[in-house]
Amino acid sequence: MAEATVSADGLTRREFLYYIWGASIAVLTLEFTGLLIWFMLPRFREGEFGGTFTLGMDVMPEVNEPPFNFPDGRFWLVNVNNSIEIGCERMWMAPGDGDILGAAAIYKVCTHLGCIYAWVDANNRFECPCHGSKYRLDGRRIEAPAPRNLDRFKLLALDENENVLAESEIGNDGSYETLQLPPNTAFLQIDTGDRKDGGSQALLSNFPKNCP
Amino acid sequence: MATFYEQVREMGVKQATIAKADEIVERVTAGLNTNDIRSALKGDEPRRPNPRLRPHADGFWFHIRPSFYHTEVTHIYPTFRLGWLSTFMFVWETITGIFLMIFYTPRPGTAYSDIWNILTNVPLGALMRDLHRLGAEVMVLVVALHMLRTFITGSYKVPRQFTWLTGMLLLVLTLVLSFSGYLLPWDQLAYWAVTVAVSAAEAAPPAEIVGKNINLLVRGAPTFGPGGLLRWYLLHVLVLPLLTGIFIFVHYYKVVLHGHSLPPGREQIGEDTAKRVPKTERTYFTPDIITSELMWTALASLLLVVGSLWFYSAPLESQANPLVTPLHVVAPWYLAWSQGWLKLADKVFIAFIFIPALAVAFFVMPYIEVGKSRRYADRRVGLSVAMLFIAFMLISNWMGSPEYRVESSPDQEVFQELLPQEGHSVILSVPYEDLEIGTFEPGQEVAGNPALTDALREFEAAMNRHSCNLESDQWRDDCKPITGNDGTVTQYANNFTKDAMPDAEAVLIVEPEQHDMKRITLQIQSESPEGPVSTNTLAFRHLDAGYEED
Amino acid sequence: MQIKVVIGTIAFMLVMVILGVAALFEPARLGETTDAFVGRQVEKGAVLFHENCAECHGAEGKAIDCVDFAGEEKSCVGLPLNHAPLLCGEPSQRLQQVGWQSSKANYVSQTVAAGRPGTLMPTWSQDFGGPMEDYQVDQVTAFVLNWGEDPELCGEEAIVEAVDWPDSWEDLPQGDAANGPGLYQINGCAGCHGDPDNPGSAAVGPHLGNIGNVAATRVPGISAEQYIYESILNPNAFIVPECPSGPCAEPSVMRADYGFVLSEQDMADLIAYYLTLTSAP
Repeated sequence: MAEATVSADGLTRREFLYYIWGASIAVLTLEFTGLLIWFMLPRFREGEFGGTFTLGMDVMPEVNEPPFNFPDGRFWLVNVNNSIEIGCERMWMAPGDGDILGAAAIYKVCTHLGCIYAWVDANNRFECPCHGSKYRLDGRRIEAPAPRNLDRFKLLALDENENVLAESEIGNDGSYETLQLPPNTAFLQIDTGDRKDGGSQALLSNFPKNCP
Repeated sequence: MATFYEQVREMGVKQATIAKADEIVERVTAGLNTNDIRSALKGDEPRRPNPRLRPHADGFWFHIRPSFYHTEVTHIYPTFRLGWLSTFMFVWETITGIFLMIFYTPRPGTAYSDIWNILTNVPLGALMRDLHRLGAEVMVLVVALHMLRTFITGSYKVPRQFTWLTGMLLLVLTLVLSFSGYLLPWDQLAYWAVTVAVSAAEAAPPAEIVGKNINLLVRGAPTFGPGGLLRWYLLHVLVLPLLTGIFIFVHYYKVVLHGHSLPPGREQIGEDTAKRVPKTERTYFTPDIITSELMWTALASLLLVVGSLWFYSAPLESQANPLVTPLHVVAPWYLAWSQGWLKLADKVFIAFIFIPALAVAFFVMPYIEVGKSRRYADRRVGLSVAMLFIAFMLISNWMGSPEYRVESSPDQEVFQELLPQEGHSVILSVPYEDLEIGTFEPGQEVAGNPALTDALREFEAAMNRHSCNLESDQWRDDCKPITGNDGTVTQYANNFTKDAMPDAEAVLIVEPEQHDMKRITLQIQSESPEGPVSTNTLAFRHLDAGYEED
Repeated sequence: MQIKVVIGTIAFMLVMVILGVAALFEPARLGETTDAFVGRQVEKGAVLFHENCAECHGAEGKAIDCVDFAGEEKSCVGLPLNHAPLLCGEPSQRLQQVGWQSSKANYVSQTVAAGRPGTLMPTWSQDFGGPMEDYQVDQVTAFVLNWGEDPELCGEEAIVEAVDWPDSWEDLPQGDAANGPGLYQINGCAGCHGDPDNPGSAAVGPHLGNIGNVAATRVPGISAEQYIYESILNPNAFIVPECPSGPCAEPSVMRADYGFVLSEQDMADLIAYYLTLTSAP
């Protein structure tokens, strides 16, 4: 039978081999669980919500104009500039803003409890029918009960050969910043699998609007 | 037992924690504390009273497992581990099946594309599918071998007749499980194989009342469609696994109740000593049987994984088309015998008399058999009958293949061998770059292109099998004329087939179709009694299609 | 007993390693299998195309060399599909012309599935009474779109230099009416305008049997030749009020890319040919 290997508590070789086996089973189980999770996580193709959508530049709205609605991707496309007068009823410089310039893809789901908010043209803002959350064109919250600004998807600018020219970066508030589109942008790509929560800045209803 | 707090006060935190852990281990294992486990791992004799028996007496998971086996049944002979392997395969299929269910919906419009989704968009999806399908075929084989072993060792005799009966039931359930799963990919292979097998149901006499309604129950409609797919899916994932699981328990319970049968030479004739196991001939479950079973689990898993990754690929043909039946529809190999019989006799006789009679004979055999001895020498008749039956089944299996009696015209046979509508194709497996644009003859050597040359050689071999030589000096067999009653020649034969094309000329033409796709035409021209005849078949080969791996 | 422990350990470790290796190769395998699937769809689409579509659209999809089931030559009544204005770019020129809001793939598959009522393009999908199932429509669509992947069709070298068309027809070369019937067939005119000798045969556009007479009087101040010239080059120049199936569509559904496919000589020949079509109904 087995000789006792040198060990303080009298571990025999046979017992030791069992423990090695047990360890290998444990590691295998870990690997298997990891592979299983990889197997089970759903993947989305281009054109499916959860995947990427590639749109031509013709859908880009003019600066500070009402947003472009893309229901399949569950997002609004906005083009904002808070430093100019045009469209200031929809987008303006407010305390805590900084310079906001460029495009963003805003998730259509309200950050309060998950309803789909609407763009209300007459009031020049997003309004949620469930509990009255209101947001500015760029998604910053105007009125409670919105707990944070609207969430955004990653936006990429592509040239005509679909090479990436620029992509959204994460700002100080943890959300995607607006993306300034390079001049030779031919396509916009929105990755609906990559979403960042909106930041929590002070409600805009606390401040007067500064549209002359 | 003292509470944890009291124990801490008594012996300090460290000791109390160790004692508590030990207590938990003993509770979880239903009777073994850490020292008992260690002593088992070391191979020491157990302490008295033997704690290793308690998980079997008191625990749930070990309750049905015997606390010891007779040492003689723990070796490879006589069981070859086939019963254990059958159960392992059932668990294997259940687990891989459940994972596949995550990505499959049983609806004709989506089932096929779900399979492609598993292959193209699910990480390790192809592996999971291959594991499941390979596992199914292995399970059928293992269950059949287990039945053969049980017959040969006479283990079905008194008192184990009911065990055999439940085993036969499990065999039937395994076959139906495999067959119901066969339909689910909803490709041409699945659809037509199952249609053919089930079509006998419609003829159940009296056909207008019973047959028609049995057919509607089985297919959910006069032919397979959404209703049929859903019914067979429910059978496959719910009803049949449940029944199989239940009967596995019944079957195994009976095995343990009577004691696993010993090798025939070990017992007196007519006696069954499996239950009275002397202490010197016991192999205890803990640790020896557990170690064995764990090792076999590891080996079987390894073999199945290696087999699925390198040797086996689950087939997938074109989407099921209820209006087009491809040539050479074939039942899966474990049912090919029935297809063979259906070529010989009337389907009502086969499906409702012959096969049921066989099944009944198998089920009741232990109850009507008279011999008491399990020894091989005393069972020459039975063993000979078994061997003859196996030979008969193997021949029936061959008869189920298209080679028997399903020959189309010789040119179609050549096309089917080289450019079939479905399945592996000699020509399409040639790598895309090696399919040079041009016209090629059978057996032609293409310089610097061994893949194409090999394919052309197979082309030549196929032409040889199906054509013959009337006048020209080619290397084929001479045509042997077959004359009709009025003396005119009706067809020609060669040494291979009764229907051979005389003086057939064939070419393979490869042309560009699109920038990354080629068009392949096979053309055969031969002389028929009515004059020259020319047929061709067409296929397309895309750069990415990946036929080299099929 | 120990040997079983060792064997068991080795077997499990091998399984671990093998699964790990398989996982490493998996992304590449997924890509290859996806490509294989798409390739096979195109292959099956080719079979369907040749069985159903080549008769009208031509074996190469260029609306030339059409052959009927008996093998006899016939005029191609379908529009060219293997054609840069239809297949190149997203959206392609043809999609912009008809104002299609969705993708090129959807345009092709929708046209195959639903056909074009009022034209000779039948419905193919079983959803609309045709013979094909959804997956077969997808396969034909994949085949047609695959022409658009050809770098020679849509690549940089393939940009067709448009002829710099003069404003007046008089600056075109001398036209030869004898080339007219051939050009009429090759360029798919019959698909919408029918057979000039057969008054009832036009399905979409006005019948041209009497265009030689009508052209001169259609628009005051514009000669017959100039009218014909501009109508071919820019279908929206003069939209006729009446078409065979009702008022003519505005904007016009006539192809606007003849400026890319005709040469100056072709244009002159066509004008000369049309002037000879003077059989009043």
